Amino acid sequence: MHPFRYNRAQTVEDALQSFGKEPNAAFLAGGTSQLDLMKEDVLRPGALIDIKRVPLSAIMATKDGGLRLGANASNTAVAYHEQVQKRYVGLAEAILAGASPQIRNMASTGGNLLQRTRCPYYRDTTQACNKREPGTGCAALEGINRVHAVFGANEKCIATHPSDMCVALAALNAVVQVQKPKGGTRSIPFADFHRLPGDEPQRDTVLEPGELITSVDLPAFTGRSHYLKVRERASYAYALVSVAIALEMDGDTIKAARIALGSVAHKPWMATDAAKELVGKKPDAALFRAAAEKAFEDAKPLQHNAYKIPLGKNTLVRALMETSGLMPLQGTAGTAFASSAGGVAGDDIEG
Amino acid sequence: MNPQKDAPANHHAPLATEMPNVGSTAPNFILDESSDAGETLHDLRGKPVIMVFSATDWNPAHAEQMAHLYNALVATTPDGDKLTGIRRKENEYALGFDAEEVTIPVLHDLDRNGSAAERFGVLGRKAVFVLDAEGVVRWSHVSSEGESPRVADIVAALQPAPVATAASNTAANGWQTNRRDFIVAALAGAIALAVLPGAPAEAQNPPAKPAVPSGATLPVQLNVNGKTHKLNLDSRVTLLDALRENIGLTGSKKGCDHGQCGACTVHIDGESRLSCLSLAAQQEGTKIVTIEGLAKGDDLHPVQQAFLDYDGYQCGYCTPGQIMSAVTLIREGHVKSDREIREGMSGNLCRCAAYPHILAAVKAARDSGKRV
Repeated sequence: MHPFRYNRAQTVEDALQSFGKEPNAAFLAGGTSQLDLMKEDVLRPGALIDIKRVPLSAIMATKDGGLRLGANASNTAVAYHEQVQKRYVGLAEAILAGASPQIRNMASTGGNLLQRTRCPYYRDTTQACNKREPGTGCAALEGINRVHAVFGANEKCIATHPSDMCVALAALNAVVQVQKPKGGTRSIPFADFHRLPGDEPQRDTVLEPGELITSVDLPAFTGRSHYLKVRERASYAYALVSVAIALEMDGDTIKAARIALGSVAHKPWMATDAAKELVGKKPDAALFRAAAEKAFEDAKPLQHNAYKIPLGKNTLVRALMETSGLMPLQGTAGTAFASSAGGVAGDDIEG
Repeated sequence: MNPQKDAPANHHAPLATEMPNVGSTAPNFILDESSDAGETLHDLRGKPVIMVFSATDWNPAHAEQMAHLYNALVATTPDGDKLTGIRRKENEYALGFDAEEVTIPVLHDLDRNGSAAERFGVLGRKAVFVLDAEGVVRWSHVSSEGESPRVADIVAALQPAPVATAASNTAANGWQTNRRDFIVAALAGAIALAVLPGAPAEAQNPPAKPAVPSGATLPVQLNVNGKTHKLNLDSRVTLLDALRENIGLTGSKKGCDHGQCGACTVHIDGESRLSCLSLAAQQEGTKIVTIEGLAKGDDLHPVQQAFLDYDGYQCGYCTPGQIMSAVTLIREGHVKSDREIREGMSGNLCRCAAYPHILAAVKAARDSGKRV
């Protein structure tokens, strides 16, 4: 591991100041992804500013009826929070379908947004990777690109964003609150927070150096939300494809819909046009199938990941069926059992 | 510059039992007599080589020893040379400087009672030799039994290195002052500090130098199983390494060291967390409980007892992590059904696949009526 200076911040100001003083600094919260990548020599910060003591872990109601998730709130705290379990079920389902209890206890809300891709070429320092070392090329293009993007990729980078939580946050129209290093704040709509690779695949988000996430705010939401994840193991694995749905109903008619797709792009992918097709209509299998076709209309498969297109469509149809109540959830809402397509560990053995 | 041309003239091979002088060619020997390859010391020519005859408990995989080495290197690096990192790969060290990386073969753990030690005249003694790319001894340090080297002497021996002018490029002691030679000397000095007895304690307080960027040690206070431990650690030391290497609690296991296997699971402020993905320095002020902290004297914790009763393991390596996870899972109430237990335990891998027994043990502990 590259040597670094360790600094502990007690306040937001403290953290921003320390960051400004240290060359090549990085904030450290849960560290579950960061430390792992530092051990692999993929990340080589000159200094870490530990923000775990900065009082940003509260989860509280906002004035407009929403819920503020403090940047330091652990993934566990968010998933089991009474208001999340009650009003943002899809978010709880997404978080609990990800990682393991140990990691969810450590991982922070802000850090979850900033985790890096699980593209194996990014983690392998012997391989070309524009995200790790801009200008070196992309080894995944001609490599094994089974888990890579079908939307928004280019010849510079075909990586996907690994988070489950972020897919749900995108569907729930969350807003990222950011403290700027020289004072002032800004609010970034979730769908704009992560970026496509473009000419700078090394940049996963629109955050500027030294900007600190202070919270992720969920707007008031009275509809139904749901997350459905498909993976290769029954548990503790990254998604091949995932879907987050937020539906608002007016009687038996869909009033508003948001669809976010996970593990198909460099960011949570909003299927905006597909969602529009649902508005004003009654939930129906044929309608959902048409929306799924629409959602994947522009998908571009690579050599090894064409399976993601039919898998994604089917997952989307099923997620819509389950969210609208046309199909029962596989498990209790708000748990990993509802969001794990294909069941969970040991389901084929017993109870 | 051509090292051959500038090297001192007396290249005769020394007598077998005599120590080779600085400036003379090091005697040849087969590096690994048990190997069919038959690679000899001479085969390594073209690169500087460091040879270490040691007792030895030197293991550079240990973060703390790496920290000593790094500190010593920073201490012996002249102003202007910015050491940015040190990595070990196989028998080589890679030293990162601003824009370059230099790799140097290091022959650790040469048997100090073996034939090579005899050839180098250091039979039974601890010693470090530095050979240049031509196989010429450039520096040596020998420690007699019971004698501790003084850090200051070693640092002083390395001082003639930085000389700027061409005229003075060959120092009086035959030491060539090109950058690579300096690096090798610094590394050798550092290894001597770290390997030879008495040195590490001193190496923790190297002479003040601009460390860029400093990976220097910092004081860390950890509360583990109710006891406070005051440590001085490299900022890079993980909680797992601090527990195992510094505090001596080896119950928490290092399986993958990347947060994939759960063998390192400990409780931090009552929650199961991965000690391998946490820096020790982050844990100041927290309450850490390891597997060693579960039992009350000879009375096993109910989950430990259940794992025994239900054979919840085979080789046992993952067991401490499994037990720590199971304890919090039961406390948090996520053990209502088999599938909930399986899901909750999914971050703990068992390479022996003792899963059915682990499940049985968790259920037994849950149903034991004992306070978990």
